[in-house]
Amino acid sequence: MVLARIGIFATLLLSFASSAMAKDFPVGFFGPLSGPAAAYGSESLAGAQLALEEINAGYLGSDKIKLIPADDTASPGVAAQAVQRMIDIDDVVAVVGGSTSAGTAAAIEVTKEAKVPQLSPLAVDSALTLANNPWFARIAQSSTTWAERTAEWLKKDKGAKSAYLLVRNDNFGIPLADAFEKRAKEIGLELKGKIAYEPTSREFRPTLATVASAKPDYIVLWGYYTEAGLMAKQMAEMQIKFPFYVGSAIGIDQYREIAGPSAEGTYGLLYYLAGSIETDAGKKFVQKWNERYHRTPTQYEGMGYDAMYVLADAMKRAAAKGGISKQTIRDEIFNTKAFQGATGPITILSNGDAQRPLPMAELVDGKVKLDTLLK
Amino acid sequence: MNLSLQLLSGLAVGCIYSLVAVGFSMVYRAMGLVNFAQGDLMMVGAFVGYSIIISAPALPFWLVVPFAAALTASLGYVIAQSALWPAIQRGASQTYLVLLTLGIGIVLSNGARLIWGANPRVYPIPLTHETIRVGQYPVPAVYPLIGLTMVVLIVGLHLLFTRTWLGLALRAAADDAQTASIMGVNRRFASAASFALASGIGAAAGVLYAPITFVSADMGMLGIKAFAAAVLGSLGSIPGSVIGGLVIGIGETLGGQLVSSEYQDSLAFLLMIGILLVKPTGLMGKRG
Repeated sequence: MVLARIGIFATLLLSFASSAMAKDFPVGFFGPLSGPAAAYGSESLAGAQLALEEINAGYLGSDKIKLIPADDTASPGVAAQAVQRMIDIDDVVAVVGGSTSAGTAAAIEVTKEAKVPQLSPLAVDSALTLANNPWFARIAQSSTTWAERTAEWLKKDKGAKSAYLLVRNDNFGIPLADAFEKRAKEIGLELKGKIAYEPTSREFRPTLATVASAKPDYIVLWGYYTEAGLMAKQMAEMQIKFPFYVGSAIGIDQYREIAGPSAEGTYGLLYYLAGSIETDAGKKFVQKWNERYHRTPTQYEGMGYDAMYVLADAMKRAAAKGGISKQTIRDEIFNTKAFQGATGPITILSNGDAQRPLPMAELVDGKVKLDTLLK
Repeated sequence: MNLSLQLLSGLAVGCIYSLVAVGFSMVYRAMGLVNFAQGDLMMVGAFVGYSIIISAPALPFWLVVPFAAALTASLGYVIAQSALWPAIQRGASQTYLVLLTLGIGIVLSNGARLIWGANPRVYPIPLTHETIRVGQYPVPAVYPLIGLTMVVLIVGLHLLFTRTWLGLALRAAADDAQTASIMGVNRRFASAASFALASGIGAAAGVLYAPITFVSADMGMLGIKAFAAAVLGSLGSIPGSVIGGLVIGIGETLGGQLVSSEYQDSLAFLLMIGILLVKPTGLMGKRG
């Protein structure tokens, strides 16, 4: 009887001790939750929040992550201020974000100064990892990789001999086009021409007429989904028929709405395509998302989900090695090797870039279908 | 690609520029100010048209145009009565008034983003993606409707200004406000009515332009080209605005095809600069 009481008392004492040791780790999240780029931020946040539910249900033992979201409105200045506030007031141990390259670039300066690890789910600009900033990593492929893989896919998978480049004349389109052009030359894919259009343009008929006269095997666009939609629509109106590559626009509903029936048959490269990852984690994520929201997850939701998991996995390994701190989280993020994420295996390279699969997709019967999973 | 096809596109887009430019000219004549919110009123009209289509899907598209125009005209009337007229009455300078219209434009643009969201909206009607054949050329099915509306509106405006008491009052107030007011014309009402009319015409342009592209809060940027069209045709001249819009529309499309598609937007403005260097008063302007 006495022994039993001692046993119960000891058990209670241990549980009190462990709950006293359990910690809530504040983690910041920033991205555009309003404004013209709201889809990127709000969808990746939705994915991160689902991951967080699972993580806080025991993935980190008794420890939990407390997420502190902030809206950067796709403005670099607002992004930097939001991250500074998270660090100064909330004392975050890590930051997940941003969703645009410009916002991410502004926040990097703040996290680097404060020595807080930052992990971006979506930013692709190659310049972000050129400086070898030890506090920044991302799970998205760099723009150089996107462009190079596209050129290789055209040449090797599709047997294309030539392409015509249409480029949004800004710091999104130009680096992608440059990387594509460089790789195309290396592998012998002929460029029939290149036109850089103004980001405010809505009338592409003269441009498309010029492209049509060059008779390329493929038209490759490095631009936004609105321009992609208008180009596809105007090509159909002008009865111009060439295979059309539109980048990640293919996964955005508004692209299909603007282009209408002419979106059919277009190609694009996505961050992630639900159903293209045949691992347990990939299947489980899609199933859970379907159960909750009665639809498949978008590419941004998948990336947000995995960004949170890559961070939690780094924290778990840091805890096992002696303790969670900003420094150990950073070290373990950079030690991420073949993490089995919902969007595929993710490896973080020494410069902070990610190695992961890229799904090349085609629009068939109004649905985004996997063409090839580019390794 | 056949130049005739580009010419048809240039004509259609030119008609849109013309309609917005007519609004610029009307407000300039009636109130003596350049209304830089004109492009944003066009955008509001396009969004209002979108809401009408969503709320009443069975309504024929040709009826959406007058409904959206009437609702946007009402908004224009309120803006003129509550913001512009008080500023004019207090003797605000031209610079102040221009800044005021720019501010109104920004408020309209952000307001539209709040009401309709940041994502572009596509008119969910068959006309958005339909094409018809004009001769041997495929063109968007909305093009003939744009041309027809343009003609109806211009003829309607002509009849309004020459055959109705309201039109004559508006012209009188625009030509000689002091004398018109002695003759019983309410200057404040005349200015607000002109502004409302210009807003309504802009809204019609927005509704007609939407099926060609999509509706978004930054759609008002088109107002810059329409302003160039109004200046080219002589600011204040309605026939001049119509001609100016067609010149800019055809100029940028053919210029993009024949010279360089990379600089098609710049070419339209180069054309405007060139014409104004030769004829500084604009195409319909008179010396002195």
